[in-house]
Parts: sequence; structure tokens; C-alpha cells
Amino acid sequence: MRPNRLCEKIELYHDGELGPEETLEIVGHLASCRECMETLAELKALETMLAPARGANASALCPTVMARVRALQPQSRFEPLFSGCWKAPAIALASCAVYIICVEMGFWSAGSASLAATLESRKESERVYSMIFGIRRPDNENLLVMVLQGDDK
Amino acid sequence: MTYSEQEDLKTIAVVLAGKTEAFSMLIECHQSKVLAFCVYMLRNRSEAEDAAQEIFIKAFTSLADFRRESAFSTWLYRIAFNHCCNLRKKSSKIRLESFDAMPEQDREKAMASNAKYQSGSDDGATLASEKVMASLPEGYRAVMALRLQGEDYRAIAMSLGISEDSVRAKLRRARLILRARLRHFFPDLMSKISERL
Repeated sequence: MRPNRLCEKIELYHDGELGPEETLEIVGHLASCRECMETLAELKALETMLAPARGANASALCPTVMARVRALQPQSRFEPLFSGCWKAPAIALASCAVYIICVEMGFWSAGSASLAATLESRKESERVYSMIFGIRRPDNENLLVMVLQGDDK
Repeated sequence: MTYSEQEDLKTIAVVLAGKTEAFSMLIECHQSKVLAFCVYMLRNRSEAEDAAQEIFIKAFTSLADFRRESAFSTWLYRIAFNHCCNLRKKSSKIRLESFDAMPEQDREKAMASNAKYQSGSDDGATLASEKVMASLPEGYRAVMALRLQGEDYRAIAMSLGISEDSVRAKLRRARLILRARLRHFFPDLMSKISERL
């Protein structure tokens, strides 16, 4: 009967995965166990048969890969020069777009509300001014017309 | 020339410093192993050569991501495994083909391997081994292919992202399947190789 503990470690021994003590144990065991000797011989035969695939043209690989690596290089060399250059105009353009959408087109409700409040307060101040002084406060446009017409007032 | 992991790390540092030509040293040192792994995984030599190219290009473009927690070869095998798995998923033509289902012409060529092996030619034996390997499920084949490249269990586990116990179990099962198939189809060849050893 095969001593299971050692017989089951033949593969590990074959693969060099055992420590020095266990390796010695297996070597001693192999001298007396014919089945394990056969298993070991079969494992070695299997490895010989399945030896790394031959015939594939590995020598052509290096020049081909290096040519592709060199072709990759110019892009990466120029990349740092131009990287980031597009960011400033892109951000400026995006800011303009956001301003137009939000403020000019009135999509920004808070902005338009505050603008309306400002206009309303200005109208209110004009009304109070005309109540006190009896005249309408001339705005810049009226003043300009008056100056152009030579009005001394 | 023995090319240690330390030398790999030095070469990587040189490449990352801008001397990309040094990458050719890494290719030369690992190309045969990567190519053999791809042949085992894809079962088609021309496809394997294309895949090996892509794997090295991927390795070059993501070399800065290599964290030096494992050997460069382990990292490379991980890229290779993922790439081969993706290729197999994409390609509807490639399928798992059992040895029994291989074309009659190939089978005859493989069965003639006994005579060729005795006369010194190993074409038949290589074909036979490749066909038998191709009959293994993908996970078992990857473990077996890496073991045949001389990788230890730890490196295989890291390359494939599985535990060492899983490597041990898969390797055991893969060998059982392979031994049974080779013994069934090539009894003379197996015994001849065993005798020589």
C-alpha cells in the first residue's frame, strides 16, 4: 500500500515546491516505491512532450515591436508641448456660453429676479425724486440731448 | 547570458527615463516565453505572434503602472493572459476543440508522431502536444503553459490572479487529463520518453 502522505507530494517534488526536509523524505521514498517512480517518470515525459512551443518566429518580434514603439514616440513627445494649450480658450468659450444662457437669455431665474428688483428700486427712487423736486431726474440720455441742443439748463 | 529580475528593473528604469530603445532588451529576454504562452493559449501561431506584439506594446504603454510588487515576467504574463482571454472571447471562430474532434488530416499527422520521434524529427510530437493542450479548459491550459515555462506556483498564482492552492489543484487536474489523453492516443510515445528519462 502506498503511503499517501508522500505519494501525494510527488508532483510538488517534481515542480520543486517542497522544502529541503520534505525533498529528502521524497528522495528516500522514491527508492522504495515503484509506483511513485513511474508517476515521476510520466510527469517528466509529459513535460518533455509539452515542452515550450517551438517553431514560432520569436526573433522577428523585437524589430516589429520596436518599430511600433518608435512610431508611438512622436505623439508622446509632442504631447507635453500642446497639452493644456487648448484648455484656456475652451474654458473662456464655455464661460461665455454659460453667461449667455444664464444671464442674457434669462434662464437664470435668480439673476433676472434681482435685475427686476434693481429696476423697480430705481423707478421708486425716481418717483420720490420727482415728488420732492417736482421734476423728473434727467437721465444720461436726456442730459446728452440737452447738451447737444445747447440748453444751458 | 542570465537576465535577472534586477536587470529587468534597471532596464525598466532606463526606459521610463526616456531611453525607449532599451525596451528592446526586455523584448529579447521575454519574447520566446510570451510567444510560447500565446501559442498554447490561442493554438494558432500567426495569431499568437500578433498577440505577442500587442502584449509588448501594451506593456510599453503601461510600463509606468508596473509597481514592482512582482517580477516583470509575472506582470507580462498577466497582460498576456488577459489579452489572450479577450481575443478568445472576441473571436467566434476560435473554439475549444477537443483532440477527438480535430480534423482527420491533423490527427493522422499527430498519430504518426511515434515514427517521427524515433527518427529524430519532433514535428509530430509538437503538433500532438499542442492539440492535446488545446483540449484543456482555458484556466487549466494557462496554469499548465506557465508551469511549462518554468514558473513556480507563486508566480503562476500572481500572473493569473488566483491562489496558490488553486494553482496546485488546477495543475493536478490538468496533468491527469493530459496524461490520460496522451497515454490513450500515444502509448508508445509516452513509454519511449519515459524510458529515455
